[in-house]
This record gives sequence, structure tokens and C-alpha cells, in this order.
Amino acid sequence: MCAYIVNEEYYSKNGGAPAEERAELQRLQQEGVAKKLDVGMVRVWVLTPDGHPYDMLDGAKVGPTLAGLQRAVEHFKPRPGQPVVPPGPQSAPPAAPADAVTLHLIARGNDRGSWGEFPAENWIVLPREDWSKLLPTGDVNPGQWWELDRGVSAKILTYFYPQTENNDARLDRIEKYLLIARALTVKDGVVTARIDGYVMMHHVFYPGRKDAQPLGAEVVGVMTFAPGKPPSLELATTKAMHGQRWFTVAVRTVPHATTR
Amino acid sequence: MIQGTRPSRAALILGLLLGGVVATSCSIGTISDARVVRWVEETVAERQPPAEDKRFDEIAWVTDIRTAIALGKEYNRPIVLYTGDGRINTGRC
Repeated sequence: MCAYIVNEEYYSKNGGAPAEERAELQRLQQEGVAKKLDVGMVRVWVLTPDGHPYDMLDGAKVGPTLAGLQRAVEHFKPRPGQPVVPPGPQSAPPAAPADAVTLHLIARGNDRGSWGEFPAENWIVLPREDWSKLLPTGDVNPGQWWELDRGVSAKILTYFYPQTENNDARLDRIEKYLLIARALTVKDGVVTARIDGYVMMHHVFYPGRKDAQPLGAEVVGVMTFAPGKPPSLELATTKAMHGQRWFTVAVRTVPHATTR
Repeated sequence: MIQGTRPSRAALILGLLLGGVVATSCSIGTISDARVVRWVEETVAERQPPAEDKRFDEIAWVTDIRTAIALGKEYNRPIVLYTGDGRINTGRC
């Protein structure tokens, strides 16, 4: 049986974990301290089947983690079998209104080991009132250009950063940015436009630190739309750097479950 | 919203505004109109996580303590519980 929780949901005043969940975490910590386990925030616990602390693993290292799991198997002797819940994608688009546009963003810098080997993802939901601002007013002709709405552009570009321990993506760290569309073709009422742009900001690697490093990214993309209909948007960085780290970003429009 | 019909103006605005890290080696305009649709499509596809990056999804996770304990009791299985900062499922952690 495997579980993961997001500490911010449990410790933050505004976190989403219900009081009963917070109480359970507190109970585990108290029992863990009483059992002289190395209790802390970022931990891999092994619990008994009825939910009491049994062991604490060094989740940062593969060898000790596997050894700890093996110890638990030898102690509890669980009966082999299928998982009790079906495995599935742990990063999925949030439910959104049927007429919303959901964007999936993948960001990756390849210069770090450990968790840095894995890409970071964001789901960006643009309700109708947002995506409609990306489209030009009136008829569109090839060659026509327009600036994408700055507020909506910022909502997308604010996630253009590599894997960092800090994930405070507040908009006010963006200094300069621009996304411009230019219609390439108009066929049967469907407009295909190229997007060019950039974002510049300062982004902190570690939470709570004040040593924000400069970040710059150039962006190219394509937006396809019929007037008044939700657009399909794809974006990719051509060059992007945070401090001394090169990284890449890709954004694409994806289907989503509807909230109504 | 700024709109116009002269494509060169968009490039000009970008050129004027770019600075710092990116502007030192600006690549704006290096992908031609003829290539851009295919380039974007291929680049976005290439940057999707391969299966080996998503092995986390092969584990049957639950995402709260009480459900884990309820299932642990029901199936008599010990529980591995990861408590982490940020969201390990999206890599924003």
C-alpha cells in the first residue's frame, strides 16, 4: 500500500487537507517521536497495516530505501497480489468547464541528478473569458498580427521555469514579456497563426531565499482557431536559461474532464 | 489589444524589447513561416516525458493518510507513506 501527501496541504493555514487528515499526520509524528524514529517533514514512512509508525527510510538513496522495504516485507510478510487501487497517471488535467482551454506544460533542465532528472509539469486552465482574449476581433487575414492579451500571456509564461525547489509562480516576478501572433493562413474559416515572444523574470531556486536568478526564454508557437471557438495552442522555447541552467519548455492544448 | 497588418512590426517590437540573457543570442525569426508549424509540432512532441520518466505512475498510489490506513487494514498490507514538500506527482517539488 503506497501513499504520498503534499506537506503544504497539511501544514499551511490555507492548505486543502481536512482537519482529520492533519490530525492523523500529527498522530503519526507523535507516535514516531515516541518510537525514536527520525521524524521530519520530508520522509518515507513505513506504517503497520493498522496505521502506526514502524520504520523511517532514507528516501534520498535507492539502496537504503530498498533495504528498508525488504525489511518491512520480511517483518509483515504481506501476501503477494494485485494493487488494491489501480495505478494510473498521477498528473492529470483538472476538471474544467466544457468551454475552457486546458494547457499542459512540460519544463525540463537536464543538468541535475536526482529529482532534476524528471520533468516538471503544470496544468493551466484558461476559461472562456481568458482564451477569448487571445483571439483578434473581427475578420482575420493572412499577415495580420496582434499582441496576445498580456494578462493571459502572463498566466502561461509564469510557469516557464525549470525544475526548482521553489514553485512560487507569482506573476509579479515577471519583468518583461510579450507574445505576438501573426496569421499565416486562413482556410475554411480556420486561422493558423504563428506565435513569437519571450519572457524575462527573476526566479528563486530555493523557497524563502532572496537570491533570485535571472531567467530568459524565447518562445515560438502556433495557434489554430475558428472565430469565437476555443483555440488550440502549442508553444516551445527556442532558447531558455535560468541562471546558468539551460532548460526547455513545451506547452500544448489537451482535453480535460468537465465540471458541468 | 494591439493589432496590425505589417508583420515586420511584430519582429521589430520583439527586437526592441529583448534584452539581457536572451538577447545576447537572439534566435527570433530563425524558424521560417514555412517551417514553423511542423517545427512546433515536432518539438512539443519530442519534449513530452517518455515512459521511463513516468514510472511513478506504475505504482498504485493513494493521496491521503486515512484512505491508506483504511486499505492497509482491509487488505492487511503495510503502508509506505511519502510526506514531501511540493508536488512529487508533477515534478514541481
